[in-house]
Amino acid sequence: MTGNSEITVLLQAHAAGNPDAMNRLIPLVYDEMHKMARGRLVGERPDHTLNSTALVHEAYLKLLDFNRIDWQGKNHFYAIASQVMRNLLVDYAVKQNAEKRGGKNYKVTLKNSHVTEETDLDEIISIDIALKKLEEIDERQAKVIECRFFGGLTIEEAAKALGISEPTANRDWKMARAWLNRELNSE
Amino acid sequence: MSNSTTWNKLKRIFEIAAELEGNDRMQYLNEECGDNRALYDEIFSLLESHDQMGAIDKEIDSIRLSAISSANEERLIGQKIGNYKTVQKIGSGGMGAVFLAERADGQFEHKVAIKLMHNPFVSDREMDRFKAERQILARLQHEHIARLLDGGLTGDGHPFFVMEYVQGLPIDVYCNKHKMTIRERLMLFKEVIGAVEYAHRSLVIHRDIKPSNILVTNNGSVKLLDFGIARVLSDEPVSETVFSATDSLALPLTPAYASPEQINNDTISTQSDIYQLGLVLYELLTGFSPFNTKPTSAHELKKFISEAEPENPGFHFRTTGTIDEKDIIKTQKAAELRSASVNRIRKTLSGDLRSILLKALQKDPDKRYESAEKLHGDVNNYLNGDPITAHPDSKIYRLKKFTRRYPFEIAAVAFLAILLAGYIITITWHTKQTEQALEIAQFESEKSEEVVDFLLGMFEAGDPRLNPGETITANDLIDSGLQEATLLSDSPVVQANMFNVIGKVYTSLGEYEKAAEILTRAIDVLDETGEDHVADRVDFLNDLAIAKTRLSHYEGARLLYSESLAMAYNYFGKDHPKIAEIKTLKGSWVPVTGINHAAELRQQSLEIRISSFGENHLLTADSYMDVGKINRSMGEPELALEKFETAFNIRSRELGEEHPLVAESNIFMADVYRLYRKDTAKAEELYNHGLNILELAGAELAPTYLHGLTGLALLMIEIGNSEAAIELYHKNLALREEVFGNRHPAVAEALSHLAGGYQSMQQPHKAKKLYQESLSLWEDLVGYDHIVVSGVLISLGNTLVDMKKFDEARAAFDRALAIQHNYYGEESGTLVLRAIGRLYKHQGDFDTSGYYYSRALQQFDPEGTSLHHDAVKMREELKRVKELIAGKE
Repeated sequence: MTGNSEITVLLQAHAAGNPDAMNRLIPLVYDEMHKMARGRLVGERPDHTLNSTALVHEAYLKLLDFNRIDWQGKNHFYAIASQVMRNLLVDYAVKQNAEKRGGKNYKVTLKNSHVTEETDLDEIISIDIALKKLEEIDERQAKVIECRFFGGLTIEEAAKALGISEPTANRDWKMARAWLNRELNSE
Repeated sequence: MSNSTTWNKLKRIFEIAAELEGNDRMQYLNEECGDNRALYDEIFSLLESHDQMGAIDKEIDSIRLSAISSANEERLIGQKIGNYKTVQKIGSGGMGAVFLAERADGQFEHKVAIKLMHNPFVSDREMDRFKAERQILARLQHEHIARLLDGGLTGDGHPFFVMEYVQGLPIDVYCNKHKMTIRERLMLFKEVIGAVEYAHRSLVIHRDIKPSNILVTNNGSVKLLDFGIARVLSDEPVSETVFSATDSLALPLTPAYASPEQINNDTISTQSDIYQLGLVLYELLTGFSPFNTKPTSAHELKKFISEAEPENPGFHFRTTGTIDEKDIIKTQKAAELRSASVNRIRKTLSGDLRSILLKALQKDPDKRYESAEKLHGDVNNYLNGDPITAHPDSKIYRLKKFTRRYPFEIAAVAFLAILLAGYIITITWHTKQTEQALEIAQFESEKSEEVVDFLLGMFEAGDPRLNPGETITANDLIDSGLQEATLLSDSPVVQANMFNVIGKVYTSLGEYEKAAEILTRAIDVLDETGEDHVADRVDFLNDLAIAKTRLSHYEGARLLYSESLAMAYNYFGKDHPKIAEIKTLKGSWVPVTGINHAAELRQQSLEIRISSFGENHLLTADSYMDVGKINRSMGEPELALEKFETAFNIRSRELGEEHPLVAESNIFMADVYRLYRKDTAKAEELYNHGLNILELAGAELAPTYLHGLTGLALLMIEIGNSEAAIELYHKNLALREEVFGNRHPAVAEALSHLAGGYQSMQQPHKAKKLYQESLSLWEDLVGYDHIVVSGVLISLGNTLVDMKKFDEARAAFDRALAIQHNYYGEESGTLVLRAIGRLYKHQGDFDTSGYYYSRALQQFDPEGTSLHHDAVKMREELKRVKELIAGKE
C-alpha cells in the first residue's frame, strides 16, 4: 500500500485505538505535506507574495483528497496533523537553536531566502511550554491553540477537527490566546 | 493555581467582558468581581492581553515549511541516492539539502557531496534540460571549481547532483582567520576570478556567487561550488538557451547577493557573475556591505540592489565625519583582520581598488567589466602597480600611472597630462561654435589622440619590464621620442606637435635651453607648411614664452606673449576663452609683466571666463585663485580670501569635497588665516584638511602639497611648536629627494626650508650648514647670479647675524643686493635692506639700522598703508628701532 490509501488505513487504525498507527502515520504525513508544499514554492518568483498559508492548506487538502475517508476521519486527521506539526516545529526549533549556539562547522549550505528570525524559533519553544501549562488547566482550549497556531487551521477547521461548535472554538481561542500571550509576556 | 470552579467563573466573566468596551467593561467587571480583588486582577490582565498582539498571532508559515523540509531530510540519512549512500546532512536550505555520502557498493573509499533538490521534476521537458545541463557542467574541469561527478533522479523524481566533496572554510571566514592583508586577499580572489573566467569560456554562468559558495581548503586553495546549478533549477525554457551564454530568466537563490538584473527578472548574462564577483570582493576587502543600510524587507532589498549607489570602499574606514563609537570599533576590528591600520586601508581602498570595485558593481551590466578576464586583468594590473582600465579617461590615466612607477619623470608627465586635459577642454568649446570650428575640433582631437599615443609609446618603450636590463633616464626617453618625431616629416603638423610636447617635457624637467630650442623648431616646422595653424601656433608661442621666462629672458617672453595674444585676438575674438588662457599665462610670472600688469591680466582673464563659462566653471575657479594670489601679494588679504573661498565653493561643488583642487583652495585660504587673520586654529584645520585630501589622492608630490606642508610648518613655528615644524620639513625634504633625486631645485628649496626651521629653534649652527648646502646646490643648478640665490643669501645672512658673524653676514647681504639690482634694477632689494637693518640693530648701531629699515619700507610701501605681512612687520621693526634710538638718547 502506498500513498493516500495507506494513510487512510492508518488513520482508521488510529481512530480505532491502534497506538502503532500514529508512529507509522507521521512520516507519511511529513512526506505528503512536504511534497505538496514544496512543489508549489519552487518556481515562485521572489516578487510574488508567497502565501504559504495557502500552500500548507493545500498540502492538507491534497492529503485528504480521497473519498474513502468519512468526514469524521478527515476531521480527525486535521487534529492529528496539527499535533504532528507541533512536534515537528518544536524539534526543529530546538535543533536549529542548538546548532546556532554550538558554533557548528561551516557547511555547504543553500541559504534559505525566507529568513527565519531566531526569536521566532525561541518563541515556538516558549509557546510549546506555555501550552503544556494550559493543557493542565483547560485541555480543549489548548487543543484549539494547537490546531490554530501549530497546525495553521482556521476556526472552522479547528472546530470540525475537535468536534466542537464553531462559537465554542472561537470563545476558546480568544481566551486561550489572551492567556498564552499574557503567560509569554510575563516571562 | 486555580481549581475548575474558579476557572469556569473566570472564563464566563472574561468571555462577556471581552465583548464589552470602556466603562461598560469596567462596570461589568466591578459588578461580577465585587470584593474579589484577585479575580478582578486576573481578568483585568487577561483583558489587557486580549487587546494586544502577542507571539501567538505571529505568522509561522515559513518556519512550518522549513521544519517539514528538515524533518524530511533527516529521514534520508543512510538512504541510497544513485550509487551513493548518505552519511550525514551537511547543509540545508530553501532549495534542497546537501549530504556527505560515500560509495554504496563500498568498492573504494570515496567521499562526495550530494545535493538533493526538494522539488521533483514533473515534466519530460524539465528532465531533458536537466540532463543537458548536467553534461555541460560535468565538462567543467578546473582546479578551482568543485567538480560535478554525477547527477540523476531519485526514484520519486527528485533531482540530485553528486559533487566533489570539499572541506574548507568560506573565503571570508578563511581570510579573517588568517588576518590576510588586502593584497593577500586579492591574490586569493584571483583564483576565484580565474575559475569564473574559465566557466564563462565554456558558456556556463554561475549565478549564485557568494562567500559560502567559495571555500578555501586547508592548503589554501580556492574551490568554487555549485557552478551553474542555479540555472538548472530556474524555470526557463530549455532548448535554445542551453548552449548560449545568456539566460532569459533568473531566480536568485540568495537575494542579498542578487545582481540588479536578477532581482528584476531581466535577462542575465555572464555580467551577472561579474557583479557578484565585485560584491564578494568588496566585502572581502572592506568587511562591509557596499550598501550602508540593512534592508528590512524584500521590497527594500530589491530597491537597494536596483538603485542604491555602493559606498566608496574607503568610506568604511573613515576617521572623520559622522562616525559613532560602534562604527569605530567595527572599523578597527576590520582593519585588524586585514593586518593594517585604518588609515592605511582607507588609502589603499581609495585609489585603483575603488575604481575596480565600483566598475564591477555598476547597475547597468554594460558598464561593468566586459568579462571576467578584464576584471582579472585589472586586479593583476593593480597588484603589479600597472595602470588599470577601470578609469574614466584611461589614456591620460595611464600617463599618470606611468609617472608613479617612474617618479623621476613625474613633474614632466603630470604637467603634460594637465596640459592635454586643458587642450581637450578648449576643443570641446570649439564644437559649440560654427560648423567650420567643428571640423577643426575633430582634427584637433584626432591629433591630440595621436600625441597622447606618441607619448605613451615614448614612455612605454622605456619600460624596463618590457625592455629588461636597461636603466632608463628621462633623457633616454626624450631622445627616443625625438628620433620618432623626426621620422614623422610626412605629417608636419603632427611632427610639430610632438616637438612641442617634447619641448614641454624639457621645460618641466628644468632643461630650459633645450626646451627653447625644440619649441622654436616646432614653430618653424609649423610655419614651413605654409598653412595657417593659428590655434597650434598660439599654443606653441605660449610654450616657448614659458621656457624663455624660465631662462629669465623676460623681454623675449613678453614679445612672444604679445604675438600670441595678437594672433588669438584676430582668430578667436577678444572675449574668447583662449584669450583668457594666454592672459593667465602672461600674468602668471610677475617679473615678465610687473605686478600691476599681472594683476590686470589675471582680472581680465577672470572676466572673460565668467562671461564665457559662467560663475561656476572650473576654469573660472582657476582664475579666481590667480586673482586671489595676486591680491595677496599686493597686500589685500581680505580680497584674496574672498577669491580663494569663491574658488573653493566652485571646486567643491563641481568636484566634490575631496578633490586636490579643493585642497589647493584650502591651503591658500589657510595662508591668509595664518598670515593675516592670525587665526592659528582655523589655519591649522585648513592646512590639515588640504594636505589630507592630497595624501588620499596620492598627490604628495604636487607643488600645492609642498606649499601646504611648508605653510603648516611655518604655522607650527609661529605657535611655538618647532619640533613639529622640523618634522614636517624633514618629511618635505625626504619626499622631494625621493622624487627628484638629491640634485634638484626642489631639494635645494627644501634644504633652506629645513634650515629656516632650525633657525627658528635657535640652532643657528645647523641652520647655517643647511643654508650653505642649499646655496651651493642652487649655484650649481642655476648659476651664481640667479635671483633665487639672493633669497638663500638673505636667509644665510640672517643666521650669521644670529651667530654674531656680522662681517660674513654683511658680505652675503651685499651679494644678494647686487643680484637683485642686476635683476630688477636699482629700486629693488627690499628684503635685503630689511635684513641689513636687522644686522645693524643687532650690532647696536640703531641709527644705521633705522636708515635701512626706512629705505626698505620706502621701497616696498611708499604710502605706508599696505597690509602685506612683510610691510606690517617692517613697520613694527622700524618702530622698535626708533624706540631704541629714543631710549639711548
